[in-house]
Amino acid sequence: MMKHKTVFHFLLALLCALLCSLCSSAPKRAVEIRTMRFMAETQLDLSNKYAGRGNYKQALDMLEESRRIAIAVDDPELLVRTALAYGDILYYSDKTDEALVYWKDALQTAQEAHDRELSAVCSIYLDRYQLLSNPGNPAVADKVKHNTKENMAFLTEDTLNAANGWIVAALAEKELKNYGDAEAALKNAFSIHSKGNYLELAAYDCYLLASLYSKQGSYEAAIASLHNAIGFDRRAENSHGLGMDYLALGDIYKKTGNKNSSIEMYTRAAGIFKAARLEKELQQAQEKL
Amino acid sequence: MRFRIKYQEQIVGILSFFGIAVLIFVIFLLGSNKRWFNRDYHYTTVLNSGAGISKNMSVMHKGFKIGSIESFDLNRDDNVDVKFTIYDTYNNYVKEGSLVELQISPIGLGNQFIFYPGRGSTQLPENALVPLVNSAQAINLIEEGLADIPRSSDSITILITRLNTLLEGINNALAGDDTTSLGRSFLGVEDILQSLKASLLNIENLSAELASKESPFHTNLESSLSSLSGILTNLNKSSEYLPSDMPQITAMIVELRESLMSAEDLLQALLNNPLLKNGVPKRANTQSSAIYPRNTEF
Repeated sequence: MMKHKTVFHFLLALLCALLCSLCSSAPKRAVEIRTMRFMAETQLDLSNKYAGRGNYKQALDMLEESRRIAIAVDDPELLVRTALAYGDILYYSDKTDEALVYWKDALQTAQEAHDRELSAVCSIYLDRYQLLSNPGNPAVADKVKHNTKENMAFLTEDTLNAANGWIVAALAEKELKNYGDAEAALKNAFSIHSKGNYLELAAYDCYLLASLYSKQGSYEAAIASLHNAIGFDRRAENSHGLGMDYLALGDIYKKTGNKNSSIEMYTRAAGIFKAARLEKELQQAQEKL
Repeated sequence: MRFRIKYQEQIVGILSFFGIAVLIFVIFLLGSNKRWFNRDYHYTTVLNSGAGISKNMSVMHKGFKIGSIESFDLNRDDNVDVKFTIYDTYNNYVKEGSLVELQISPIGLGNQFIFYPGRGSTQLPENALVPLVNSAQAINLIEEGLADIPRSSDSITILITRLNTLLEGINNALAGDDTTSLGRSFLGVEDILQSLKASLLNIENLSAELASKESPFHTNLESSLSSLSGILTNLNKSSEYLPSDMPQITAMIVELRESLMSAEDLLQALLNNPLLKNGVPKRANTQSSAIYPRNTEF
């Protein structure tokens, strides 16, 4: 009897092992070659990373190559994403008209590809442009808020797109001085970024939250949020982000009248920028000092 | 019978009268050509030398004879006083600021005594001194605006004058005059030549040192060249095989790549196994979406 039990347990274990080894949670997709697209995506991500840190020149260099591959392989998603990235870099380089051309081109490409999610992403980008170009305009902010929420219904596949939508919605709510709704939207974005281990983006969410708290006069909450941002930026080794977080801390301490802490934060930021050879940001920090 | 012309005394009288009249007429004609009855005006000038002038030499103005030289003599200052006349028809040209010039052709083509009318409004009195061009009085008159700077119509003289000016400029430049650009250029060339000389001297010394077999540079160069020679020999030997093996290397690379892709697929499958999945450490995701520069107001 004992022998039968042992054999039974062994067979059961073997069966379980076989079942588990046959299971796979890998997504099923059609056979294809993605070598060049993978390269383009890597370069696009690097480009976005450089751009997020204010290094637009290097971002453009990476993006040009990514765009070239996107055009070569005629991948709609890549074409849309590279066009959106181009628009971003041009917008923050004060070339607004050219940026708008790229964003509209991205929307057209997405519509031609009949990709509802991509079209929604492009619409959110254009709404964001409207919001940033019309500061202090409640009518525009309200329109952007409603459009973004409508478009977010289509953002089902890529969580990053959904997070971006939440950020735009938060910015719109902030313009409308609906700080509670803005905070909720930002926390949704933060949740997506932190769970997906998007460290730099999570840091930015905390940075933006801190700005929101500061506007409301909740300086303690702002300082705590900035310390969270610093934590994420340290993990991501994001020198630019760290410096900007310390600069923001300096601003908040200055607002609260804590001059010594303010100078300490500015000095720390200047030290980080100097070590990272970020000349423009260093100058900014030194001006604050 | 004696032949007698009737009224012979009257005819002789008339012919005599006619002859005298013709004589007077001829005298007047000759006289008017010689300007015996014209009122000429006399003026003087002072030249450095009497060479090139002669009595009755024409005084010219724009190709027309407007007078002539009467006489010329040495004066106490060892200069030449020249007396000349200007015809009455042209006397209105002799205004304040008038100048005269003696143009001597350098190649013996004839001399000219030229008159330049002045720009002043006052008529010069008779026997007034008309200054010579380039004299101190003439320069003063030009500065005062009463006289024009005479332009010579003699192209050869112009050419020779310009040549003189050019040669004078070159001479001054070579002598070290730095007031002109040519002079400054010559000085600059001199400086460049000096520094070039110094550089050449350095190069000479350096090349002497390099040429010396005992110099450390030479020793190092020798050893570098010998090792380079060795490398090139090895490269030659290696590259002898390459052309024949290129297709094989290509094939090897393709096979290696395919092996890596298979390994990646296998690893991906293992990672997706639910039993193993949670044991794989999480990595930070570097993917990003929209760009948000951190320039928000606080």
